[in-house]
Amino acid sequence: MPLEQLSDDHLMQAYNAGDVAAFDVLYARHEGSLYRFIRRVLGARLAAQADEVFQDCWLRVVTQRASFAPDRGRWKTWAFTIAHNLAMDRLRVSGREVSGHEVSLDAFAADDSAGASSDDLGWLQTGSEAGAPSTEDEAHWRAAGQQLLHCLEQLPALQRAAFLLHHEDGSSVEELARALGLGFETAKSRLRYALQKLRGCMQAYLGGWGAGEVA
Amino acid sequence: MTEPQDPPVNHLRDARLQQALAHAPDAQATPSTASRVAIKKLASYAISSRLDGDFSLNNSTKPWWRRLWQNAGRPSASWNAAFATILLGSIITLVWYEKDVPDAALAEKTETMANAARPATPPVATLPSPGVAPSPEPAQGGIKPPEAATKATAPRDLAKSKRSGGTAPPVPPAESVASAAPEAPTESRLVLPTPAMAEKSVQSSPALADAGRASQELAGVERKERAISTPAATGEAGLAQSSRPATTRPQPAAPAPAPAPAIAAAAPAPLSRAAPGRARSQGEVMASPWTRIGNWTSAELSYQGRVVRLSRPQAQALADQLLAQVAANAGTGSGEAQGAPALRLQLLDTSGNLAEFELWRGTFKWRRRGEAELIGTLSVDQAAALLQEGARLIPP
Repeated sequence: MPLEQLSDDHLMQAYNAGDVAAFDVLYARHEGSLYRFIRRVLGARLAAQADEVFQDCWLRVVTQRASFAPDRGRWKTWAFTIAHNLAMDRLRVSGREVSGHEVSLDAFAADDSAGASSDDLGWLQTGSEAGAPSTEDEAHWRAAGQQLLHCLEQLPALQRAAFLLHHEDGSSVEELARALGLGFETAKSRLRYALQKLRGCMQAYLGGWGAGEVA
Repeated sequence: MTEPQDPPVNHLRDARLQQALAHAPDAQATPSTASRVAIKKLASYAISSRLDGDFSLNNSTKPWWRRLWQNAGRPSASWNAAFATILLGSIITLVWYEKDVPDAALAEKTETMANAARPATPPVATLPSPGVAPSPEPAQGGIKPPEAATKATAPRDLAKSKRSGGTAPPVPPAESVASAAPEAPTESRLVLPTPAMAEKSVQSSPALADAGRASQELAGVERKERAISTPAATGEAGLAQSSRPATTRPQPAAPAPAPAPAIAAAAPAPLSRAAPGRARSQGEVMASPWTRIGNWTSAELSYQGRVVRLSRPQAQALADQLLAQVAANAGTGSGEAQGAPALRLQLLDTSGNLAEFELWRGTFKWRRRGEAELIGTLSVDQAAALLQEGARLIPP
């Protein structure tokens, strides 16, 4: 079976067995999402350190590859948890207030693949298959994305991380709870608070979908 | 104009926000190429070396000498101790280069004094040896070894006296003291034989081959006669037998015997000047050059018309000082001194006047019982130093 068709977990196992090419595929698959996640958690003020944290993240992935166990959680959740912890450390060192505590990688104790399907994200795939977005839509979402980054800057770091983990990584609430080292309800409420603030901040973009509102 | 699709919204995952997130300006942001290369290198290196947790991203890019240096710094590198030992030994060697080992200094000093004593042969004119043909060469040849020894040891003794002279009083005639030792071996001024002359004399006189044996035979006779005919030589008990051939030559007019004591005194003189008290206290080991002249017991000093009788300890410093000047400057004068000398020092023994030193302005005369008179000139500083020492001994 070609490496490109293997799951993340299998690629990681192949790499741990000595297949460097498996790592290259894994890296190429998640380079962008991990980097964006780190960059957004750090915020605009520490964006210059995103590269360094990104390297540290992959360093940990490499050095702790033997500790990865597919039966305890998805590779993507494992890697994003590493990235989250490193970004929080960097925020803490930089003096930016971060509440909460670091998450242990051992928090992934159970297979949570079932929970990932509980959220409905299928509409994006459906929408993209329906046809290419118009230029007007593109402009609208670009402006919304710009505003969303601005709104994320206003969030507390942990709420921001919770939102990004849930929306960027696609983690379920259970995964999110384990990644943040929180209880399920706590993670859920933190995510709810984040969404509430973001919706309020993005009201001008989310209130009406008409092109006239965007323009 | 198309109406944007309204994405589904649940209470925890807002597809609209996710759509906005996907269109954010940084959506296409990627790490730098250097980071990408470094991460992939790291991943490859980790597999090939099987090193876990003991390397960093930059470790693989470090030059080999830097990694070697880091490994060398580990405590387990035992050769560090060997290197440190060699380094310490090198430093000690450099620090002590050409310096005397403290424990060996005393023996070496004694040897130096013994070497210096050899040329101080007594006047041999009183010991005619019928078995040896009179020739000037043997007398010169007998002085050769001490000359080399004096050359070699005089600067060292001066250096020693400087080092050990931390508590020694300042030397007023600094110039004369400094110049005495280096100038002591000046053969031309003292008409000393050169090594070439000595070798020539040995080769040209086969009779000299028997000189050593003859001198040994005569040694007993010398000891008996020395007290009577050559009292100046009575203090030379420590002279080496090998120097006897030189003394067996009947050379009353030869210049070699006369300067010999001066040369012998040249090297030790700075030492005794630098620390006279110390030199006297070590009389057994470092015999004063005057002991080789004779057992003078007292001295009579005349200075500016005043005459004072001094015991040997009182006059020792002045005697050492003027002897050093004699050794350094004998033979440089013309003998035109007239009038009463500014300073006169007579060394007396039980038999009377053993030696006499007279100093005019810049000229001195040195007479020793049974020897020819030596005349020399002194610089102003040298003469002033002697006069100053003489004035110190004259009571007010």
